[in-house]
Amino acid sequence: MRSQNDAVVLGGKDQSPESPDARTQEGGPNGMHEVGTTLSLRLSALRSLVVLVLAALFVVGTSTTAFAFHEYSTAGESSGVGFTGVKVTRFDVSVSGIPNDGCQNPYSGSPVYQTQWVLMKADASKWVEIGTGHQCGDNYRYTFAGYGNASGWHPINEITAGGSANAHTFKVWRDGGSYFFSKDNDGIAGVTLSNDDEGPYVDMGLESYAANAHVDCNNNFELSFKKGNNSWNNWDGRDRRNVSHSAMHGVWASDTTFRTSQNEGCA
Amino acid sequence: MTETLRLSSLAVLLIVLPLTGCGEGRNATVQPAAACEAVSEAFPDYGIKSVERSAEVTFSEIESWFRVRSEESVPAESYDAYRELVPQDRLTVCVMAASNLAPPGPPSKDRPAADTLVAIIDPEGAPHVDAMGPRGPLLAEFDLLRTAESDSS
Repeated sequence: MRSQNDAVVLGGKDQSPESPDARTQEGGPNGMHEVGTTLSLRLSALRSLVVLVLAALFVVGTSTTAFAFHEYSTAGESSGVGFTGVKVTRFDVSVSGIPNDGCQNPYSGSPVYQTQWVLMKADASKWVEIGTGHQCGDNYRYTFAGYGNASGWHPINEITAGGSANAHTFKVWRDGGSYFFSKDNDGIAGVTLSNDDEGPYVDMGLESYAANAHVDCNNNFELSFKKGNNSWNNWDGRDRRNVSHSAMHGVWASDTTFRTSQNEGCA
Repeated sequence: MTETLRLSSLAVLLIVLPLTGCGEGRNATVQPAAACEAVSEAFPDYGIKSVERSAEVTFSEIESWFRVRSEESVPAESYDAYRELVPQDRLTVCVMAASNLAPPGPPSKDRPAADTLVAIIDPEGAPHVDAMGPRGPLLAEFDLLRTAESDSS
């Protein structure tokens, strides 16, 4: 409902459509010129609006891109199927260049993960995973365990991770209908999942949400897998390697050692 | 004139779309549960923006939530927080939009980025993160849970 007070007065002249002056201008002898002027003004205003909107979209798009960094440097074992476990020995390395965000809650901010998983479906819709999360300038470091399915990540447990001085052995494996997670043979979590797994492959390596993180080239060694309820076996051959971005680096040192880094060469 | 019309249409479109919430998936029928406020307070890093769905359920229904969600039997004893619960204990499920989730996991072209968090608030009022993932599947699971509950009642 428009009121009289809604009319906008510019330079002391009422320019509202109801204004006699406005009607005269559009219908008077100089109407075409006035219409052209009005159109130009409207075009200019619209152009300004569009430019502003596009600029806003650009800013949003740029910031989205800044948060969209999610890259990998991983290696895997995929000979045959039926994988039920993966074991990796490595250091919880120091990571510099991580933003000071995600300082209170795991899986937030710009984490760098040293991680490993057993795929249960070939389309990566179901998996179990154990790893080390680095957040908040690497001042928040934790060991985590959980599983994923089509609806996403289901964390089971997180425990504080220590320093970088000692190597640790991380395992996740199936025994019967349950999966177990351990660090240096200390149990971290267990979960019962359905037993219809294909087990197409196991992977390990770096996963990073922090574009400027710096991870020194480091060894992931004694790489082992498990199939069915059999004992642990060394990785054999160099089946899988996924280095998804120029900032990420990964190179095989042997069939059972894979070296990873970020924003630093790795040979 | 044609240019004016085109620009006008574009301008109107650009203005109207955000106002209508297109792409935001707003659900006008769901009011934020007061209990879900505890989730934002407990997990400030997740950038929780809004409550998409919420419901008070019994623990026995949570067990069905697990079954519906993953077509897997996830025993309650796997979750320390729920060990002491009895079937009739009441919990709150909060499905919330969040802007700062960074879950781990293998790459998958079929898995959209995580923008939704599911939290379960125990009878003591303590929230627990149950899942973080893309909005569509998590909302679908929640709706399935409610459907299953209404079917069984």
